[in-house]
Amino acid sequence: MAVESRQLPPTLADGQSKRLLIKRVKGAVRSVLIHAGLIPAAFIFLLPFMWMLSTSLKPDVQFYSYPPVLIPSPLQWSNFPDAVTYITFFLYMRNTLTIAVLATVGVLLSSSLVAYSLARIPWAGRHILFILTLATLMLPFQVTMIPLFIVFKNFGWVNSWLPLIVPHWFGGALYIFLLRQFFMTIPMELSEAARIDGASEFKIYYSILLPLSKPALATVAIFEFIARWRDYIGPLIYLSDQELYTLSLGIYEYQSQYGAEWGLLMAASVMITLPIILLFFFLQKIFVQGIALTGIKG
Amino acid sequence: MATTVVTEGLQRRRLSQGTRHTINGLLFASPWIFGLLAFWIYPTLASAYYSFTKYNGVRDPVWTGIANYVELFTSDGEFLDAVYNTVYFAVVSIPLAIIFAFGLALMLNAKIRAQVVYRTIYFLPTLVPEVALALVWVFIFTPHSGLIAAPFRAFGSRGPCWLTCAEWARPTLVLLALWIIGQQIILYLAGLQDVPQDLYDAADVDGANFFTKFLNVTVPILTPVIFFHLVTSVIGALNFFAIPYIMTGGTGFPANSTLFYSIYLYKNAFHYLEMGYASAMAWLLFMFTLFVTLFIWRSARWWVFYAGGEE
Amino acid sequence: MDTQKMLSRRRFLQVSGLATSAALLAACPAPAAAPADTGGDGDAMMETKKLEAWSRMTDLAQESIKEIIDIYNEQNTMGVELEFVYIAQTQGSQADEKLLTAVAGGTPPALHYADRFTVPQFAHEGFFTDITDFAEAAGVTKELYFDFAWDETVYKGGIYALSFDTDTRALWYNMDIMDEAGVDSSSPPTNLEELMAVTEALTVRDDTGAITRYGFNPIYDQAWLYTWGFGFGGSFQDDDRRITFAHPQNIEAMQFVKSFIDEIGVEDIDAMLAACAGGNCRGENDYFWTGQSAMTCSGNWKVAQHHRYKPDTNYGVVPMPGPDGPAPGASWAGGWSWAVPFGYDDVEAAFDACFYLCGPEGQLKYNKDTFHIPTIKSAAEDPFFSEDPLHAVFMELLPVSHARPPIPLGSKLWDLQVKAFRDEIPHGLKTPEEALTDIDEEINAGLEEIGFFS
Repeated sequence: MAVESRQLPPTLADGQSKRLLIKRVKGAVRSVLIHAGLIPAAFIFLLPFMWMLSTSLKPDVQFYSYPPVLIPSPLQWSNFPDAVTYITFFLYMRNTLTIAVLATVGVLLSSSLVAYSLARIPWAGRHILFILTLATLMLPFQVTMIPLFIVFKNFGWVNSWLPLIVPHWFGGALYIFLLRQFFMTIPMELSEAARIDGASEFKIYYSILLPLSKPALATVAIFEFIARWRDYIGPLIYLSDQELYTLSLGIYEYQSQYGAEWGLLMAASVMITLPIILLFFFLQKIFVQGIALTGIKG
Repeated sequence: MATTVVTEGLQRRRLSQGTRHTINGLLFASPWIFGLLAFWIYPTLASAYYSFTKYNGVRDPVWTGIANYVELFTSDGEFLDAVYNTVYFAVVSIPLAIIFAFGLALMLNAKIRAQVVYRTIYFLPTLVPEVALALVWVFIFTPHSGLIAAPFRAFGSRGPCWLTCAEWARPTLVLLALWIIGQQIILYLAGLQDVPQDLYDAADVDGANFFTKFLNVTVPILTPVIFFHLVTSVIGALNFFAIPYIMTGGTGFPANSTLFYSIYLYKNAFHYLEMGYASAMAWLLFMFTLFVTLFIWRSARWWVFYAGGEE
Repeated sequence: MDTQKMLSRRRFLQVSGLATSAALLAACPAPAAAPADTGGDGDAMMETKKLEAWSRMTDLAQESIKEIIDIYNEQNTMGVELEFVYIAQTQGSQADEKLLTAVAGGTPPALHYADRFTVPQFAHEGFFTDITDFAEAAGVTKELYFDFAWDETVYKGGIYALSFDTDTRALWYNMDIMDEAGVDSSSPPTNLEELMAVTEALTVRDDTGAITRYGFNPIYDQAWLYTWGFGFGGSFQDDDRRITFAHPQNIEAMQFVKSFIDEIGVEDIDAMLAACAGGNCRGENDYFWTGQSAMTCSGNWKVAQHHRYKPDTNYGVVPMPGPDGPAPGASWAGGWSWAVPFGYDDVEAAFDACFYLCGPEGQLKYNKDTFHIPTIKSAAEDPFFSEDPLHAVFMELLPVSHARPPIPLGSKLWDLQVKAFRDEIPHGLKTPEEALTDIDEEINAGLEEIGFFS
């Protein structure tokens, strides 16, 4: 990378080891304080999932007993195998996964290209296009749902996954906006230097911007994957073949007009949540300080 | 890649820089421009047209001029309640969400033990399916018997009425919204990765304390992210839907205190089959949101710092 | 009380369902018009046309409908194949985004499973097809069905749906709790005074005064404005089809409900409703099944739940108590229906399937499988429905049950009355008279505007 890193002034002075010690103590105190702040809040944030997990292991009778039971006894593990046979769970999961992965790949490719145009290329229409992009986020979907359905019907896409995947290959307004913000924090000198060297815009996009924007791209991937994983209204409107259904539709099969299979519903909810927890767990490694470019701000 | 070939070709032909930028800009934006034309233009124009009609979704729309808009402002008390609640929610929840998400992200960015575990935990509520979330919240917030009532009971008190009375319902919903803030935390975490360590080191050398560093290094570099968060949370707050819908079934009880703009819009569209009226509501919301967003955008030049240069 | 049936509800219903379908298959004469060579599979020159039947039903109801559809596919003369399509539905939502979008987009299914209460509205708005001609040709007459069920499927003289099932409402009480609390479980409350006294006797409070076990909640479950109004002898629609929520008896009923709530404590009433938000108290979470409420006003579907969730607890059912003794007329009947959405091209085939589902055979099987009640009079006479002593009480209420006023502003009316009943009146935001008069004014003005009275 053609970036000059600003060096710290040499500090090989006498007081160095003392300063280091103070720094260590300060660091330890700081970390204790941070833990003290994070732990109580973590309990609150853990509650929904813990309650869901606890309920998924409850025998029917303990489900809503008062006072509430947090650790069920005995643990009703059978809710899990029962939940996956009560509905065609794995079929729905495969469908959901397919849609989510394809849409996420598409949205990453397209949105980053568009964001590059808005953030890095000084062309005249970019402000208007940016405002237009924001505007698409502002009109409530409830009133565009029917006309959009008619559009997809004319394409012959109703009762297929196409309406749930293809539009994402043309960009997502939220992600274009997000990536634009991140691209704009990268010094323009980088692009200009590359342009002088004769690099094409695509080359700059591909070999400079993208590698520097890994955290932002990971954020987009997480957001879009979760959005597609949880999308309810899209699959509801466009799919009419149970073979194509997704988990967000399937989860309502545990409920009936007058009752609900609460234990199974919660077991299924746990299983639906796990894949996205795993995805997050691995992707979050990108959010580790130190990979960002150095020394060119200001 | 086709784009590469084209752009290289263009450069060889030595077009003026401005023209080259325009062509490249359009090329890179072309998927989105095409997407807008294919999937956005017609539905948007159609809904604008519906807003001037009486339309239920299936019968031909009947032109009624601005009747829907007039009715909203002159004879619809629920609409005004919904506007009030929505503005209240936006004004109270947005600053809290920014402070809260930013603060947690700072702590979660520190190099501490179990960082990964913490991050995952704070993200969890965002992932729990809505049906399950409804149960959990009820389990916690039910007056008298809910989890949160326990400390009050220890003192022989019943505790607040949470969602069952008008004065507590709105703040309670703000509280619930702050719970699912995981995505915003991620956003700030991603932003924090852009802060060059050597800026901190340089500040250290200057003898800056934590707060000076925070104000002079961290905040300026994160302003593009704050700008994003601000704009999207204005849009999100004005379209606040899922949480009150889960908690009240969209009834607006008690005393319309949980009736929000998009819930009322949704009810008009799909319960009462007043798609024209709902479209008018949608376009009012659209205009208002656009106005606020443009205001924020114009103001951005004073407070948003782009290392890549001015907009 | 007879609670010996130790079979789980599912098993119990599956066995009875199997028996019914076997009996039906055996009893069913081959349709007269069937071609002689139906048995031959190879002769189908034309591809069988696929018809979709959209329904939100899950669980046993879904299984039962699928079985009925299988029977229909075996024997129908239209050369069609009916297919069940499950449509997800958020609980408590009356909105049907999928149907509305599909009809608006011109891709409707052949059949749609509709809450009968919403049929006049969908008919008025043009979402359902008028099937009068086909119904008449098939010999469907008003006399076949109970009046309340028939009236809800007819709009401006046209038939827009066929009714599928119904239900009635009465007072359920937990005999074990009563015995334990020293209340005579063999003489449940018969009038409102007794209801209040028993409620008080069965209520348990903790040291903060908060209720931990409810005797009875007058605005929970099926205790709706309609239930109380009908119980007081009120009515909700006059002969000109105007809405009359402010009927003197309805006002009196709501004044009673308000005083009853005040007696119990509105905070406690609210706490229970809050706990049940989002459909959390359905099924085994119901306060009645968990023993957190000793009595409840509810429907006949609870009989099946009783067998399933609490077979060992003793329960009783009596008609709702009224101001001067039992008020069987407090019961009102709801239920579901099948309709042909607007825009579906082959109405003849769709109707044929619809009439099989909602005809004597389909109804009998479905209602036996699910412990609902048929809307076809002759089917409701089947001894099966009175075998269970608790269900028998509900069957006796059928002839005197009322129905909600069938009007094309059904959703709006439902929302307004829920608001009056569960928010405005209990919280004293409006007096009963004000709240009920406001409903009448808004709905009647709306009906006037769409020309409902002309």
